[in-house]
Amino acid sequence: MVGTSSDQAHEAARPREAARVERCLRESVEEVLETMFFLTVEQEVDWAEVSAKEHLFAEMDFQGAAEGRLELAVSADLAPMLASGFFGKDESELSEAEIRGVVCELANMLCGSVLSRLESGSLFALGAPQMMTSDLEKLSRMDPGHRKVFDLGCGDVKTCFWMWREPEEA
Amino acid sequence: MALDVLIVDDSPAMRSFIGRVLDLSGMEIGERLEAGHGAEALEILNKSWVDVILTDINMPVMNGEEFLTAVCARGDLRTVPVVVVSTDSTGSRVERMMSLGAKGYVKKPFSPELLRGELERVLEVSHGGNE
Repeated sequence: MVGTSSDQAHEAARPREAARVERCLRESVEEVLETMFFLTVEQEVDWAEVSAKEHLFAEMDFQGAAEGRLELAVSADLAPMLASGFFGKDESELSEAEIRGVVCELANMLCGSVLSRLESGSLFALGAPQMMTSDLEKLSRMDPGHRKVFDLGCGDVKTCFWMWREPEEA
Repeated sequence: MALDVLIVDDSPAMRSFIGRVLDLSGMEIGERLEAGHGAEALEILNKSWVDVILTDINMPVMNGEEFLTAVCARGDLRTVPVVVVSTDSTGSRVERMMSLGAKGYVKKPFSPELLRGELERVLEVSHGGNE
């Protein structure tokens, strides 16, 4: 069956849209880490390269002009470092709750930043970030979404972003 | 004159971070009060006077929009400027919060300098630089 020209145009636009989402994700990670934690992304790496490492997971849903979710994994060596900078405390003084709180806050800032870049003219309701109980690896195998891994030298940050209902075109 | 500040955010980590930024900002900070949502903040405002309110938007129980509306409806709080500090910085959201009565808007992530600059701007406008 031959698709309509509208279908073909939609298909042609998919890679462009994916590239735009992934660019926004990368810019957001760089901005949040540099501004709030004074850390720089050294390079992007392959998902499989860091899969074996221990991570702390957080997730965050959003609704409104589009629905979706951001999931975040911060390597266990990096998370205390992030919390230390955030609270201005030595790593040895940090509680588990403080470390988890900062990972959740990182998910919150990333989600807001990505949406602001993607859809500045739309209204969203952001859910509360929470530590994740589901399996990011399993979820991403089912639907990889837009996923990226950032190596900071001192640890890594994995991000997955899904938009289940695309914003209506103007 | 030291500034009494109310920080409204459901994240203890973010309240702590904002407090630390204020302490390091060079501004003279007096009492620093904290609330986890809008309803808790209104209870605090029933008992204590503050010079400025910093509020998040996405919070349980009473969100930032509802809180801002409640503050602006109260005559006794009319002169207290509210600055929104939120991850949601879509143009539509900023416009909505400013139309509801917010005097300033700081997008997370923010640098300490940005928060200080916005606070100074808002206080200058609200109090005419007569501190």
